Amino acid sequence: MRKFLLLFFLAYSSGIAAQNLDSLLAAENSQNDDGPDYVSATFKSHHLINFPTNETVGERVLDFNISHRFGEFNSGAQNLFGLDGPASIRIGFNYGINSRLMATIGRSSFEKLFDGGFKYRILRQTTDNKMPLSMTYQATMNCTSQNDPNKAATGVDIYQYFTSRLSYVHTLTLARKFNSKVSLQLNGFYIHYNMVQRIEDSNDMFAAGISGRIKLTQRMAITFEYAQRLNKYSANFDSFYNPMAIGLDLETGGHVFQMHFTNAFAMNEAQFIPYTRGNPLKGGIRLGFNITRGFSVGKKEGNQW
Amino acid sequence: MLMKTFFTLLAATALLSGCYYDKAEEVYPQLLLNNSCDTAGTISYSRHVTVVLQNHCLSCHSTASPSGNVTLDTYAGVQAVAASGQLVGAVEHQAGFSQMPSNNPQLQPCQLTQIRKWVQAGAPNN
Repeated sequence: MRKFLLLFFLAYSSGIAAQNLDSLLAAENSQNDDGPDYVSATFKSHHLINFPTNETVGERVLDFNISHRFGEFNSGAQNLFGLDGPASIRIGFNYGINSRLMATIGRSSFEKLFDGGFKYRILRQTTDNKMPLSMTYQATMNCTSQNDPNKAATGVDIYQYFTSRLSYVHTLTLARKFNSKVSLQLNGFYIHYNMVQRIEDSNDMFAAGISGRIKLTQRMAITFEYAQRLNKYSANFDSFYNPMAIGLDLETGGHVFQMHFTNAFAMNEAQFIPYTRGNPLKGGIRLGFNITRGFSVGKKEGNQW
Repeated sequence: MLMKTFFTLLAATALLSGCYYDKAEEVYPQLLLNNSCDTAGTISYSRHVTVVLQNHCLSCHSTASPSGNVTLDTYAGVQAVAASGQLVGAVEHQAGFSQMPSNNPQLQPCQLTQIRKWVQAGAPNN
């Protein structure tokens, strides 16, 4: 119940905020024909490494992305330091409904997880600094399609009810592009699992993240991210680690290629925020990459050839 | 306006599917009894051990994709890691072994008992 209230609150408050901002902008536009100049490309893509950024894809752009994580380095030379696997993959599509709203669907191989959601740019940083920050809200609903692996051993199917398969992620991102080289953002994560294993486990988890990028050249940037888990959501809390990553962004034409080292195996926030098992101090780090490609679909108004 | 419609739709989706605060051990108290898997008597390779391997190991350790050069879909492959101590070390998360199943919770206590008993009995092909 609390969750609905939160969702409604966020939905309507963001709707209201958008209207207020729109009217403000309209008022400003009447004085100044050009309108406010929004800061563009705070980050190269809708995801930094694992974390969402403040960015959405452009209007009527369909963006296809493939993300891959290899095995851990500490799996040894015979396993080619994790390149032999086990690996995890996420395939996703993002569509820009307009310049501020993006819809997402995706599927991760880990726990056979489907995800779908929306991302909305509530506030956008302007070049004149009247709006110093960008704020973006993302809501995702996840559904695991795997069978209970312990069904044979325990005699019960914990996915007997469909709703037990669902989990939700809400992310609020505050981002600022300080200059053409440095962008930083803060992320707040709220994750809800409809079902958790143990009686002492909590269905809700909270985490705070910091992430950013430093551009080296026009097409290349160093990125990093780290999240601190805030509540003790599991009896096994200490056997999980805070997710972190460091990466390299390469932009080549319409592609964004992101290569990184991370201790997280999964790519969905509901999985890697609470349940990252890689211990970075013991070589529990893996190589990963994300590839993103945008396609323009639909006719743009006033598009003259 | 469009925005509001989408957010309302999103909220409606969440409403229809429902939001729960369930704990598996509360909903299915049988999970706590931990007697639903058979650990009494002789543990059989075909009736007990392969069931555990099938559900927890073969996605990474089959002949088709033998991660770490471990194959668990043949008796010979399982027997080799049982004899070397790798099987018990990995699933019991002993020091010096990769913790298995990788990126997943440890096996249930009774599944660990089954594997340990079977290995102690000499890992027979029964």
